[in-house]
Amino acid sequence: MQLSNRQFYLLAFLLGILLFPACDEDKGGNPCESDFDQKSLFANVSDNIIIPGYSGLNSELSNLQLAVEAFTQNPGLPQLQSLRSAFESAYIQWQQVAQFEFGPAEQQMLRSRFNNFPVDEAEVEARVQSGDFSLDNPDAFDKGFPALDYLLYGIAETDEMALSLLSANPSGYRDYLAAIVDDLQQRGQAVLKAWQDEGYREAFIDNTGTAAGTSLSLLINNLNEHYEFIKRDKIGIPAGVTTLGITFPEKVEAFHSGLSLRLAEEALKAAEGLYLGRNLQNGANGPGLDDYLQAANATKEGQNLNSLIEEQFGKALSALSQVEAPLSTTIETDNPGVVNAYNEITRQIVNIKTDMPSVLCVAITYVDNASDSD
Amino acid sequence: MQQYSHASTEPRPIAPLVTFRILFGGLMAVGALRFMLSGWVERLYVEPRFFFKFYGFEWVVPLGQVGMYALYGLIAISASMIMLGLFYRLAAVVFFLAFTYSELIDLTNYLNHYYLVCLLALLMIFLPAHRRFSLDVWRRPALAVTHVPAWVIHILMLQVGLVYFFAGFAKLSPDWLLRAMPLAVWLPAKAHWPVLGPLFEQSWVAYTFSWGGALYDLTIPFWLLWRPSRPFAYAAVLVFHLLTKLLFNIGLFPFIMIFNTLIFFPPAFHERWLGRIGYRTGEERVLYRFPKTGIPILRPALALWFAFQLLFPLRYLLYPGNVLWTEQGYRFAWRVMLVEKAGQATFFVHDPETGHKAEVDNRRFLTSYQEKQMAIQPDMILQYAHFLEEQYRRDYGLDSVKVTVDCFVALNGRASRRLIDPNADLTQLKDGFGHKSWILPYEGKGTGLSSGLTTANDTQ
Repeated sequence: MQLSNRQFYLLAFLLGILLFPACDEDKGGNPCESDFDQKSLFANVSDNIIIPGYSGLNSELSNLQLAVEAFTQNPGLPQLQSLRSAFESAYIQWQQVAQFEFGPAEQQMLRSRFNNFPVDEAEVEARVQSGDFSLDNPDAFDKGFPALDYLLYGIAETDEMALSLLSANPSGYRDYLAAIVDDLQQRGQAVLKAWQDEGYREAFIDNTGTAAGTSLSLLINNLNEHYEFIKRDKIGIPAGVTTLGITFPEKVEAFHSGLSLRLAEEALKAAEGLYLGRNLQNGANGPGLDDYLQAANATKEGQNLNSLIEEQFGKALSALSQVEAPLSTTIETDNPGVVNAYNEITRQIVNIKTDMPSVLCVAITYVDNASDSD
Repeated sequence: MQQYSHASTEPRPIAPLVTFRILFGGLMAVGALRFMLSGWVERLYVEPRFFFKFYGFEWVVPLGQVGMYALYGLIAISASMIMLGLFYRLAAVVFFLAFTYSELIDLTNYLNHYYLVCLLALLMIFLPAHRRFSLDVWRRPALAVTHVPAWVIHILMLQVGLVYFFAGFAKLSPDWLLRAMPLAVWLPAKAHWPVLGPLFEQSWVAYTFSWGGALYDLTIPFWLLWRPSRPFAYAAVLVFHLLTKLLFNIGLFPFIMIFNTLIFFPPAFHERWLGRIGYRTGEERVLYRFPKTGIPILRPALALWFAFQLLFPLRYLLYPGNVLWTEQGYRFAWRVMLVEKAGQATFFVHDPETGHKAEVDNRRFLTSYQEKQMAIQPDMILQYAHFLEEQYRRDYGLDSVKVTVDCFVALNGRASRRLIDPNADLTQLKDGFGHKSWILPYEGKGTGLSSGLTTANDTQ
């Protein structure tokens, strides 16, 4: 069963006609070859974004804890105001790190413990009444910043009434608030410690490659997961985009404090910052996913993929900035503007979720398959 | 033809068929147990709320947790009975029906090697594989034969050979050969392997594997047929399939092929190995004879079978566009490990009365695996759209809704493109064998996809 000369030429001819038309259009070549230094990206992201992000969060949470103590010792309207502003700063700072739900943060289940919203107000009331302050169930909507948002802004009509509820002796509201702040602080510190002192930073920087579970795939997956959370939970669901025009203004993030838009904007900027590799402290642009895409010469329908992504971040942020605060009110008065912002945010998803992993050759097919492949 | 007609009825010792029966039955029994122990019965048949149907088999439904375990139990038992040759025909019929039923429940889980198992199981029903070294013969010694007509062995060789050949043929594409895709994505994922790992990141290794794989698939049946090359060919079978087993998450497929290809070895080889576990060739030669009544049907049935095997995988040539992109004619054609594809499909349900639209959160209805598979396969997208039509009509009490989709798919290391016409109202479309004009063509420069043999029909 050896090939005769005739058969050989026939086979060569067939291969020839098969490949020839491909040659003039597609330059061929392994598209996954790239000289990009992944470690410089991971070092920049961990040292200039993630670690400063968590240490910033921890100092905000310490301030919040001090404010709780100050209020407890000497309850009054000014103390309530400084407690509220410490809460706002901490909630804003949280947006810087919410997208890093892998490794230590994933272990602590930080995202659901810090920011499951909309809060279940009846459940919070029940906790306050019963004095059961256990915060163990990560799936419950009874803790974290959303519960603080309710406790600080939502339990009474006026500030005076809130003050009297929070300063009563004993006050279940104040005790639950303090328990939540303690919980946030402990978890935030555990995560920072794992990054700084327990070797996660080094492991993260060394975990190169494109397979599932490598740092590149963790960053891209988590960037996307949180980005979709921004579009869906912070904007989309309240604006009624999933419900045929029926809106749910009360489902916005930080409904009672009215901080919703600011938080969404911070979260979107954090996504952009991770993409660009932007230093959290001085704003300098370091190695980021943008540089990786440039190194891979990534194009989409003839255009530079990185430029498309940068441009779309700009459009999304600008559309969001045109929405008037508070979001819950604007949803009722000018929902088309909100939906417009939602659409601009959404347009980015195909770029960062489908295009970016594909052109960077991050293997997708074998991730979390329920069974075998072929 | 005349010559083959003579050769095909020539008696051949039954041993290769016996080996085939034992290994096939044993492997399938292990496979069913593995399936149950891995918790896949729950994940694939109990947890999903929606099941994608195979065209024409819409009546196949999951049987609930108890029912599915019973079905897999039945598969394991009937496979063991095939292995032992106990009530063989009945066991083969039960195995074929039960296995095929389970594979028809959800299109999401389609795998080429499951299709191969269905085909082999159907063939096995009609082959006298239990006529030696089986419990049936032990029960009824009169059943024993020593020889079968040669064609009985040949059809298994042909079936296995066709799988390889088509798998190799499908690899003759610009992406596979010129860009080493998708192996250039998949191999570096194993870069952490000791010794070999660093090699997997080398470009030339991806090319070597691509070309080697294509050459292997296209030619291995011939090397196995030719006596002088057979031992080397089988060594290649072992290396190739064990390597793919280690590199990729492909379950039992490597073992199926490693076992199946033994059919190419001569009877003496089988008799020697089977002899070690008590197989006796028999003193007196007894040839198996097919029942007289069956013979007139047999020949046309086999001709029809192999005509189907030969032509059905080629049906993609009748559709415009590239089969890797449109997936029209993709399944049941031995396209194995051929693309790295990821998609995202965002559905919108429109209320024509108010003009309102709702974006669908697919996670409400689909498992992540279902969503991933659906987003790259147009017929699944259409089925799901019809499901959404019903679901939203009921949820919102509407008379009629429109369903559209924003679907983007990235193929083999490129940026994504739109797969489906975003303006098409999917509720108005029906699935079928006709060309789906609402699939957008893969166009544009630098893709290599709009050219080549596979798109020869583009201009028709």
